[in-house]
Amino acid sequence: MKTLPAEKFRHTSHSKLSELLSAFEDYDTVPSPSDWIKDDVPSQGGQQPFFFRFHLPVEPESQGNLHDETVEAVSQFQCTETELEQRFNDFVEKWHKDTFLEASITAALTHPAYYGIIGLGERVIPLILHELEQRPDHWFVALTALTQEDPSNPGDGFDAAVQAWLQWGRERNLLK
Amino acid sequence: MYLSESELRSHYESIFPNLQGSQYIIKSPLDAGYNCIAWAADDDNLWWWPTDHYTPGVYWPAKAPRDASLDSFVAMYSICCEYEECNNPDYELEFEKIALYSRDGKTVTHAAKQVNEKYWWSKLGKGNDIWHTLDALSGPNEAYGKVGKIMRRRRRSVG
Repeated sequence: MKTLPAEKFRHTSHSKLSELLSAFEDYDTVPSPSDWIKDDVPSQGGQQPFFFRFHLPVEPESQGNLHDETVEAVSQFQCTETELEQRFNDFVEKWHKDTFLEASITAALTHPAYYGIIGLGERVIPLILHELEQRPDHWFVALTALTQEDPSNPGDGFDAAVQAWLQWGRERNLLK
Repeated sequence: MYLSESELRSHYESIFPNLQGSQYIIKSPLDAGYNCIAWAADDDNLWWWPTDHYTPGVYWPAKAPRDASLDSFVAMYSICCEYEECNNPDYELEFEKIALYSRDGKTVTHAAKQVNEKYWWSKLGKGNDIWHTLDALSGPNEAYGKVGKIMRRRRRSVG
């Protein structure tokens, strides 16, 4: 049985995801990509690369084969601002269309398009803030997932939470 | 979705066929800040729904069961707003009434509150408030199913 050499993937920030995926197919003890946990990746050198970082959950029985802690595999997609904005807008419209009449916030926040927006990474934060300003909606979970921050206060109503996030964006020059 | 009122009406009527020709009235602008469940409890600044984790802008009464079943929503409206189950949706001057909808008879899809002998008042998801007849939002697919529970509370002031 071939096991994943974790070190090989710890610093692959410039690898293409397709190469990473095909490389993983050669190993027997790597969890399915669908089981990976996506996380964000900090900016590098002032750039805001379009990142996906995947943490491979390590099962107790496989720890000896993989690594003594969570294995990280990092890949990067590069796309233009225009392509990013188009992807974002497509996801937003799909999300609105499918959840517009839903009473369930759970249905809205677990919709694949909402996950897709989070998956676009930290470069979409200004786009989300602009969308929040133009058409207030439940972007708080996505913004918290992407920024690891929550400027709203427990007990805030919807309007107060919107204003808290817009103020957060203005203070960081993320909102034009 | 950026839609005109006529486009919104067309959209609503495509989802809720019973609205067609039913003389429903749009009563508010679009607003994603509150939902039908909140509106039935007279709140227009929070989205009421049971969630597993703290979610900004979303509220659920602390002592209410945290699932989306009809029984749990009945308990929630009893706890928060002193409603109790009743059997008929007829207008009664001394009572306020709300209706809970479900597609499968178990899970809540929608809530509306009674206005008068003819109309009920609903917030349609992130969309508008509308006045409509009770069965206008019933139906299969993306419509809200059918009325599963009626609740009432004594009206606090009449006239």
